[in-house]
Amino acid sequence: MSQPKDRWDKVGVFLQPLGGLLTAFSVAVVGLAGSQVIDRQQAKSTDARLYSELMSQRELAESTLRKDMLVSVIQSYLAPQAGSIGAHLLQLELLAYNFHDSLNLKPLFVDLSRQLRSRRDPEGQEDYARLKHIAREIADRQRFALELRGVSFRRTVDLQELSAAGGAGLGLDPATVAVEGIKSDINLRTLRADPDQQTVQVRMEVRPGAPAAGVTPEVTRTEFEVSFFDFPMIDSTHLTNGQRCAVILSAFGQETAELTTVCFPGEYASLKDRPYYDEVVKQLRSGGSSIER
Amino acid sequence: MRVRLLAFLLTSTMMPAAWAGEMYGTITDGGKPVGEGVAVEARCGEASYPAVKTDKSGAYHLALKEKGKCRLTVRYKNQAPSIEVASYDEGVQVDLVLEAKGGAYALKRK
Repeated sequence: MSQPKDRWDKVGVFLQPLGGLLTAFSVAVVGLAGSQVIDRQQAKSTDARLYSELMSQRELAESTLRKDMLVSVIQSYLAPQAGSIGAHLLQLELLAYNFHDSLNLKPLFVDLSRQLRSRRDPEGQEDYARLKHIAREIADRQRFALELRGVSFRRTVDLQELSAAGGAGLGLDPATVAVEGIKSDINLRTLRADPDQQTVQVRMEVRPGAPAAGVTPEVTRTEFEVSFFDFPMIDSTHLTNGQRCAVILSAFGQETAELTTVCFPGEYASLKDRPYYDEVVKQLRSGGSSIER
Repeated sequence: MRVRLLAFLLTSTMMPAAWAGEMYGTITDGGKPVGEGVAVEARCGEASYPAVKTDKSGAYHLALKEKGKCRLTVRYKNQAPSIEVASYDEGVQVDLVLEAKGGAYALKRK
């Protein structure tokens, strides 16, 4: 004999099909939400792929354009039937403004300046001033860009004192710079200056600012000539910590010359100045701290 | 980074206006700009130039007729430290650092 159904049995009868319905509804909701998430991810991935394709196509187009331009200008610049000096100046200006961060244009600048300086007419002097102006502008542009990530300091060279000092040269006030938290002591010694060519021979010594106890500090010593046609991104000294330091001739007067030294992370050197393999490995092992910056 | 960006903007906006004998830069004390109203005087040979005042970011700007060695004097906290600098055909950036030693300020190139 069946027992009379209580209130809970009645609720159970009602809830059993409702449970099935809720389960089916939950499965439907989860499936729908899941498919939406997958769709969204796919859309994002498609967007990213499209963006990357567009960027690489643009890069490729720009590279091709730059390559064609470079080949065309270089070919006409170095053609045996040389054009006028004015045309050379214009071609060099084109090269300098478009390729100053990837090509060392110093040989072309020096060659053209030699030709212009041999001319004594006012036009030649004017062209020489224009050549110097281009070089200065490029060097300043590069310096501005490097100073955003690096550190610079300026020193004045007394040309009379330097001449009187003889072969020993003249030491400039040392400076301590900190790039990416790494301190370095920089000593500059000017060895000689050529007022005609407007060049200064410099010896640079860079020591780690805070060497570890018991470790012999690795010192970078180098000697080079600085002229208005040296550009910091292209022509810099590779330090043992992977950073770079470059010296720029900012001004050259009758009594004094102005040197600007800029030290910066190695990544900001030109494309032609690639890091050493051991530096890359060191950076990878240290978790790419310089890349994360 | 902001200070560097400001210095960059200042120098890059000043550069196109550079003319013969121009001298410009910033003055800092203990790594911070000296601020507005610090007087900077220049003397080149016999010629002396009236003082110019620094702006909010401690930047100054002098237009000098003479080229060659000059002396810059900064009037700061009742002291007048000075330094020898050079003026050229082109504009030149001379960033200065005030260093206090025994209560007396000395002026150095950055």
